[in-house]
Amino acid sequence: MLQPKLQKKLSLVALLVATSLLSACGDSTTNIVEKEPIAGDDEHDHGDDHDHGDISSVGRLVISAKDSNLLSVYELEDGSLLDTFAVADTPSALAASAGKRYALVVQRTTDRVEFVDGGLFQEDHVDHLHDYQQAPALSSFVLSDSRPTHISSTDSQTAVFFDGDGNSSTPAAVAVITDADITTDSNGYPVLHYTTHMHGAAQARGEYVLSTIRDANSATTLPDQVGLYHAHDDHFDEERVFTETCPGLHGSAQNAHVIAFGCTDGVLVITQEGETFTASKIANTDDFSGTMRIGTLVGAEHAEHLVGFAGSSMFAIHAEDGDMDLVDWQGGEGADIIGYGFADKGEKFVLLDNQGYLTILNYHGHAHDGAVEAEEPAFEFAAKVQLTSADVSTMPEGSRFELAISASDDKVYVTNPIDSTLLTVDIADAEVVSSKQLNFMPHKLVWLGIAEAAEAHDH
Amino acid sequence: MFKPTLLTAAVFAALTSTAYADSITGTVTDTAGNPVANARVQLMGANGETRTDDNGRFVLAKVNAGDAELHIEASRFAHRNVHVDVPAAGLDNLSVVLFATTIETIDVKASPFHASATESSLPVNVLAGDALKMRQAATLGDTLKNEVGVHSNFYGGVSSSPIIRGLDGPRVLITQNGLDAGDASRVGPDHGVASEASTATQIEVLRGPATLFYGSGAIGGVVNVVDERAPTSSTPRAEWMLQRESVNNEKLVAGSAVNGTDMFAVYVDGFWRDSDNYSIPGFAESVPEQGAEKGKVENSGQTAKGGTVGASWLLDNGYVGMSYGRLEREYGIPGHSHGGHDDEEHAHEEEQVFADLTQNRWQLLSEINVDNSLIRAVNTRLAYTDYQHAEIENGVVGTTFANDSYEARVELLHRTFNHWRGGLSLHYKYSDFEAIGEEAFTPPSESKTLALAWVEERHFGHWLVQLGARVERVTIDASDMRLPDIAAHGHDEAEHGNDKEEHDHDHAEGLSRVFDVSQKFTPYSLSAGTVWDFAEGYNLGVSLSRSQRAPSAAEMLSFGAHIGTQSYEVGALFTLDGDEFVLNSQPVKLETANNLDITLRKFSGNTGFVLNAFYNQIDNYYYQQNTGLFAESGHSHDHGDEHDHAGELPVYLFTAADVRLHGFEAQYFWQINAPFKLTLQGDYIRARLKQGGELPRTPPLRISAELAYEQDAYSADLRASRYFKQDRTAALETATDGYTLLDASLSYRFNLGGQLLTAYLKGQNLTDEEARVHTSFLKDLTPLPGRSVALGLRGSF
Repeated sequence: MLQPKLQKKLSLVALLVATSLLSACGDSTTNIVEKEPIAGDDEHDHGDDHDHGDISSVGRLVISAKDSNLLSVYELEDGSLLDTFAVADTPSALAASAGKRYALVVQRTTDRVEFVDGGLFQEDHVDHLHDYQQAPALSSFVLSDSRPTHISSTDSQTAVFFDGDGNSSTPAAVAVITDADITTDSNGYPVLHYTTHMHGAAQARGEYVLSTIRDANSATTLPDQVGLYHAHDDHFDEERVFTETCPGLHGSAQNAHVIAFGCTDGVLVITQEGETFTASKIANTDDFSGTMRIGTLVGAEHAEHLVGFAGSSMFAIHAEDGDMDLVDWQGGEGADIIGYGFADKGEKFVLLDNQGYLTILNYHGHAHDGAVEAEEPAFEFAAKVQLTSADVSTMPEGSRFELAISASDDKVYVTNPIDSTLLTVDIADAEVVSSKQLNFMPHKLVWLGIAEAAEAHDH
Repeated sequence: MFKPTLLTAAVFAALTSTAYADSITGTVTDTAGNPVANARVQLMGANGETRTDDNGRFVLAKVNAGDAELHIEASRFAHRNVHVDVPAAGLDNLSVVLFATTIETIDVKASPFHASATESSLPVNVLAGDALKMRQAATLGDTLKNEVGVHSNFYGGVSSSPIIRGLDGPRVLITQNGLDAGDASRVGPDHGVASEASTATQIEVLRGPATLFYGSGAIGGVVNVVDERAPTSSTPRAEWMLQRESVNNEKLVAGSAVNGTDMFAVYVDGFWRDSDNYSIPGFAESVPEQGAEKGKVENSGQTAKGGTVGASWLLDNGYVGMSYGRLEREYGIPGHSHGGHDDEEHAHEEEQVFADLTQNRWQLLSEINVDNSLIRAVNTRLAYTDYQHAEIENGVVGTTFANDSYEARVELLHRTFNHWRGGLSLHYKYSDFEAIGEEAFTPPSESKTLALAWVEERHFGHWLVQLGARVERVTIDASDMRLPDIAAHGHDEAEHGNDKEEHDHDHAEGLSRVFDVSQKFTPYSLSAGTVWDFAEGYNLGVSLSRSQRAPSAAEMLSFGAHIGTQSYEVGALFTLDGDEFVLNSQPVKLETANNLDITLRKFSGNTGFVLNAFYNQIDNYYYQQNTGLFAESGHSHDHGDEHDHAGELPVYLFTAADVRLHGFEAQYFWQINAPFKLTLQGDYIRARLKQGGELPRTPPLRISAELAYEQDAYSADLRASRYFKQDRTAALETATDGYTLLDASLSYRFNLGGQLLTAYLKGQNLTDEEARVHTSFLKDLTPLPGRSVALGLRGSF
């Protein structure tokens, strides 16, 4: 009786095969591991300098592809593609962690933030800082909460505001993390839990976080107050709620001394002196007309001024003096600001607009800079760089130019989705110094790297 | 360990024998009431089969009581399915009427269903018998090129693959007795298909649900070459043929024979063909160089020989057959120019490049009918194929391609269950592919496929429903995928002058990055079709299918010069970053085809037609996109001249894009009177990228008319085929002019010493037309052969 045995075996095999095959219909996976390169016909004389010891001072870029879950990490020393990572879903935003080692890969609609380790970082070896250069990697650290939206980082901390979701009655939350939390895949970082959802913002201040408050009965998802919270282990306790309101709150920033929030009627400024926090309001000036309001704020630790945007109008805000002055950035007709930030180690401020121009302003308002003349405007128009000759009306649907600013030198990087290029702009010389063809349509990008290289030292 | 209790119980329950009712007896007649002799009467979904006697009578024993379905087929008649309700006492005097047809209806061997030109929900082509003997050519594509919907990618007469509805390469699976041909022909058009038409009994082209038993990758279809290497009977028989062809002085000798005892059958075949360079009416090159000579395509000769021995153990309920076959071919690779024409000195040093192919193939084929209430038959096919071909230049082996492959397929066909017939197929395929040498554009790779397929069919009144599904796991591993620094560069014709520096590429930085690649794919395919017999003698077939294909190793991993296609090929795992190739960061996607196919047929009476229309939406179709860059071929031709432009090849990158293919095939048959039959046929295909632009090498519109005469000892035919101009071209592809081919043949049959002999004269391209084949990689280098007359004699007993 050979046949029954044969049949039984076949049935078993068929069953096993069926279960193993049906598990992942239509799937494909590819694993590629790079091995040692081999020399061609000639001797090993490569002369490259990107992977044999020297640590990149120019930094790296993480660029996401349009409608894709893939992130490409480029070494800016030589423009080489170091690696590509797949995250769970198409990122809605990319942001740098506090130490600019990690890219936060925000996947808003799927309630997740993943982290890509850019591989460039410093460790404090007590008597010196030590620079490290590693291959980029996808971190196992993940934040999962409802609708992560605004990210704000200081030099040491990153606050991730999760908006929550009114439709599912999921309340908002704020996670405050450090690069060390990401590195060690910690779950000991503090989280602020709300009882209602809101499109809010938070600014981390060491043990404290200043974060927005929304009345659960409010008709809008925008908060209108700010609270001070103190971290205790894995959570925050409310210390106080500032009575100074901030209707329609949107936008926040901080520098060494103040934390500011944008309101429909002005800017709410909270000044920190040690452990004392004082709230005040800078009212909208005569430069504001109609529904104009500050909706975006930008700050840098050592910059005395904050920058506020009301539509395409730029304001220089001196919180301590209570001044809010309009800055003429010479925006062209119909130019909407889509990218901005302090650049060239705080010496400059750049504005990217939707017409494809990068506006460079010199900044003269460093704190404790004795040279500041009272009459001299804080931001002074320096140059405008046309980034592309392409017809900007051919911008693909859902795409725009995107900006990344180097923290280590005078370069900024702009992705142009029209022709899928990455442009390097030298803002000291005000020119596009290189254009690199990408093999995908870029979506978001962020710069990662070491802002100040450690000085040489002996081991 | 797996606890087999339940399964064991199920299997043993299934093994309990069933009680048989009596028998069915009946008569098969034509519409005029005349008996049809030698008709095959088969009990569907079971193992019963018989033939009618001279009075058209048949007796089918061992029939279960209840519903039964009979399939009756006879030569020159449309196949017929009859449903009967069999009482326990049996059924007597069943009368079956067959309709005469003008359409050749030969069942496809590769399908567990009855699939013929008139019965399937999708078109099938079967070339068998005398038609096959008359059309057999040295290469498979050329053998099939007159089948409707099938074109050849003509490669200078030495190699060719069938193009089915515009698809070829890895999208068309070539099998020998249902098992992968195991050669390198899917990798390059210059690599011959390791199969021989002169000893085949049948060559079939199939699409749709039936292909799911073979591979979901066969988006284009399956071409199955059938021979009798595992004989199913020991009735002594033999066939042989001798032929001499004028255009290339081809001499062909082929033969096969079967003999044996009641229990064993033995099969042998052998062939030998030898040809010289073929003649053409004009110049080989479409833009002839100065001093070029007319009349011949250099380096297009070949010598091939092969043989097979097989033996079957004949059982009451089936057979088990083993065979060994060996094939050797040596063929020139025409169009392999290296630009030695740059100056006088080199003009006459034409390089002789040829391929030397050897294949050893072992096959075990078995079909066993099982006496079991659940399973009715177990079909097993095993193969080991050891293939190798070397490309030799000036006597030195340049590149060697080797493919060691193992394959196993087990089909379990179940008994009719609730009127459904069908079965499961478990399929495993392993291929270890290697290319060594300067043209090793693909790194060594191992591909494994494990698949489970399921097909079913059932009649609902006038409707036949056919369903199929297949799921596969494909893994491709390559431990040494290379990314060399090739210094690809743009080619501006204007600066292509005398500036030596321009082309003096510095290879000092020739460091190759090396990658270990492992890929896993889980493609699945689904197919549903129906055939509606909406009126007597007519039917309408509609088929919908979705099939996925994992890109092949060559499509993903290639990186190097491929002389066969005159291009530098780069796989889909790479992408261009400026002028530099880098790893592709986009995921490798499965090629996914959604297909709609509609077939309308009239198959009874003196006229018949088959009309097919199809629409294929293929997403992530891998094709070679011209990058506009050029790279060094890597050939070290020491011409004593560093300024060697000819060593540069255009760089093509495998890119996935969404494509749309649609087209039609039409055939019309008219039996004018007893001896004369007219066949008209045409096919058309449109293949374009969804985002705009055409796919390259798309077959042009073609129509042909054939008038055949067959009476007594004579048969003859005259065929004119018009290939229209193809000006729907891909980027950097040129249009190809139309041409008309006129072919004719005359056969005379006679008996001599107990043998049936046929002497024949066959003429091809009688008007000596210069014809360039748009679907050929070498269209500008090798036109079709000129006028040719072949004289042959074949016999059988």
